[in-house]
Amino acid sequence: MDRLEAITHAADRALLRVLDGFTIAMAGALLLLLNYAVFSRFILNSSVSWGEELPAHMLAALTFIGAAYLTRTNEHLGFDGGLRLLPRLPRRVLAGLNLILMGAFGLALAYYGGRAALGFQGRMLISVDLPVSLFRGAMPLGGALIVAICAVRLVALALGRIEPEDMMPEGDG
Amino acid sequence: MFLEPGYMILILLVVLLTMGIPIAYVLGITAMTMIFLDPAVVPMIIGLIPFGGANNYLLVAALLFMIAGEVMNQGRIAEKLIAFASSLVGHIRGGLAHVNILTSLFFSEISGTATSDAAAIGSVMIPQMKKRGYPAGFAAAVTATSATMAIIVPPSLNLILYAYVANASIAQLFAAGIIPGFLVCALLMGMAYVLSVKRGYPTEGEFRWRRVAETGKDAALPMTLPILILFGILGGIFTATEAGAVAALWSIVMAAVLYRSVTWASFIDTLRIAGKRSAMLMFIVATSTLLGWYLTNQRIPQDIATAILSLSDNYWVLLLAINVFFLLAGTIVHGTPAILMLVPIFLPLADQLGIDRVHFGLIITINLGIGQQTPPVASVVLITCAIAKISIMQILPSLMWFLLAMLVALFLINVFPALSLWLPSMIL
Repeated sequence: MDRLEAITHAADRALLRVLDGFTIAMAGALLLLLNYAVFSRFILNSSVSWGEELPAHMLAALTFIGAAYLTRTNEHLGFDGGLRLLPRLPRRVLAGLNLILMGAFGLALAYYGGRAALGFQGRMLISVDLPVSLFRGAMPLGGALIVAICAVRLVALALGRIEPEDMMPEGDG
Repeated sequence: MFLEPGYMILILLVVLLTMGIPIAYVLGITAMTMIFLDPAVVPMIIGLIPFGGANNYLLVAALLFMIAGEVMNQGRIAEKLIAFASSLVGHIRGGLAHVNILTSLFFSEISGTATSDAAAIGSVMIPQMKKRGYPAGFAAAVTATSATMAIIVPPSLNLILYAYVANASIAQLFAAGIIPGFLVCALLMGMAYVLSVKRGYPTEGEFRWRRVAETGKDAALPMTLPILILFGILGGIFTATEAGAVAALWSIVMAAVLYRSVTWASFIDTLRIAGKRSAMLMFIVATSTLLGWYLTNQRIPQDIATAILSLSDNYWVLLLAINVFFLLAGTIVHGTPAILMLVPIFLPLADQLGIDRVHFGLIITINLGIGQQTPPVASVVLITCAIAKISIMQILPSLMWFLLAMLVALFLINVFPALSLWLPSMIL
């Protein structure tokens, strides 16, 4: 049991590092690419073909992978007032139910997003030679990560290793 | 289905929100449930529509403006703007309150979000105001209400979102926000003056042109950012996304090279914050697009519009009802989900009433801005209370007066559409 817990913690830390790196890299890449697009259009007098399509697809990839990251760090917007008012046991039950529902939505994103990504297999972006499924794949991957995060938390909640307060959404915008 | 889809969606939204599930998931789970229950809808739509919502070039602008605002925030640009505002309005009775409001207007044109504005200005101005004898509640109330200008004037994140949802021109919306932003600024300053005279708050020395020139020189560089954004977009030179990219780059050059106030580590932190905020926003966009698709598929917005129009066809009654609804919605829902959830529902009604979409955008944005000054969703107020080290109850007596000023601005913007529509018609 202790060994399993140690492995879970190590995997969690590694996942956080990867997701953090991905988020920073995507934000930085979007900043660079869009400034290059502006530079090319106004200084080189030649608009890049990928100026709109590629950044939009990158943003979509950031959305779904970032959604999993924010699920892990409890930074999605929400209201926790009602949950905080409940006594300990109903609060734990409700927190568990929330995890099941969030995991179910993650599963739907993973399954249907995966089918959609497979449907786009072999197709390239119109403006640049990159496969569409590279970006579409972010949705099933993000969904699968959400399922994994919710499942691990559900087990930890059942075993009393975490409390509902550790998973409350951010109440601030 | 055992219930009408519209009622079922409403019940699901309320129950799931109360359960403490994050808003993005609430929207997604509601849409997913409705899709699974409706045999006429293919579930595969869950794999297609959210990606289409997130795959949006215009909304890349939000990420880029967040980077620009965060860099300026970390680069201590607010202090330079405060010094300049102080030289302009510090001599008026209640000088620091006016400085606070005017600086917020300047900073609003850089940050795009009220929370950034409140944190950047509040952390400098609230302690200074307390030191000069202003009550902490008054200082926090001035900061909180003036920060709302960030969601009215360009590059307002809420206006970018509204442009996406309502399919309206972002350039027109940005131009339309300028006069209402100045109007809110003037009314807040007017209220601050009245309260300051009544309570005997101090001035900050005499007005001197030399001081204006000196502080203006320091503030000139940061002030190029809003000028770049405004003239770039309104002049038709840049798209909103291109303007965001240039603004982000220029703010980095200013903060890192010219002011040397941003380190590599703080820059990485900026990218992290902007990336996470953008993902949070875009996941709400993605899931609300799925729910919006289902609502449109069931013609629910049109049914709501018809039902409301059957109650009254008086333009002013319905406009008042829309205002009250969004004002109340703003008190319980954040601006981003409120725009994404409610605008698609009310847009057909606004269209049938003949309200211009740009004007409607400003009305909604200001209502939500005012609504968000009161609990339970009062993120800006909570930030200023934390800085001022006071409770929500201590800010309320002063906050009420400034909210009254904002309600007057809202009334004028409703009654005189030209306040928002004149400028776009002149320059675009």
